Amino acid sequence: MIKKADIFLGLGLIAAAVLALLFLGGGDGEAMVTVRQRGEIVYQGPLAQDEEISLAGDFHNVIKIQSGEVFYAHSDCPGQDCVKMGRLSGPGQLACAPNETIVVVERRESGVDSIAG
Amino acid sequence: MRDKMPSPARRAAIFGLLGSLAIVLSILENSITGMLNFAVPGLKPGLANLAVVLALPYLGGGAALAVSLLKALAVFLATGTVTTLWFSLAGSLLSVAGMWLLWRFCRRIFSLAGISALGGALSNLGQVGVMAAISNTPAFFYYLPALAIFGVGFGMLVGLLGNMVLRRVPRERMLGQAKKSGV
Repeated sequence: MIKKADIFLGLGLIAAAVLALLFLGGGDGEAMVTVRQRGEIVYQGPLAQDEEISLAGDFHNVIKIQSGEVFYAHSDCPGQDCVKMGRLSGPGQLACAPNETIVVVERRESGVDSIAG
Repeated sequence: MRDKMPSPARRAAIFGLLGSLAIVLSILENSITGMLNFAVPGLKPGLANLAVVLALPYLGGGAALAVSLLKALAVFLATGTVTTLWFSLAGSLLSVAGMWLLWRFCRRIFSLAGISALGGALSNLGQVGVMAAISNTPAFFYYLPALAIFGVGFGMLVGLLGNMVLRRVPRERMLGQAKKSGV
């Protein structure tokens, strides 16, 4: 019922994704947190630095960076997807689509200066 | 060589069947989406794609697109967040386009399993891709392996289900073109 070609396609897609990650992702410097609202950067700082960021918009988000983790501590959006996304202690992203906010954690290439907050 | 074209009424009935399948599965899928948040926030199992995938052999690419849009509408009505509608539309359109291409040109090589696997991968990719493009963050690349694995995995499962349905109700029978009289 399943054909060989199906399996090759599936494995091929996964391989392509992993390769794409290896070539495009990366950086092994310090973990940086960037918080954007409507595409604009509203905060940028190291993951290691504790901070509390309060964002108003259509809804209200409170993002906390604490003990090397970043998470949505509070939001009054209807779905609460952002809060449910949990905590990031490494590269990844969280977002609150209704409030148009997004939290990204990424590692810079080591040797690059950090951006002034 | 087809003996006769299925009547518009028949096609409408099949579309109605697939459409309601899409809606019911979407609602079902919505309740279990929360479990996957550990890997990628907002990742969906893509169960409702069964209706889209089955539309391809029974009714063709245009109907598949229509079922896909219906599915997106159903999710929007169920969850009520407008912003996610755009993301899921992007994923759906990309997904249907890819599946249709495979169906149109490589039908002999792949079964519905492979087609659906591609559809699943493209759907997830499209959603997160639009999210990243709008918010200006290339960091979504970190999610590519998880997206691909889950998209392909679930896509395959859905495709296998599609194969099973197709085996029991082949195209000719669904369209009323079966040689034997009666069903």
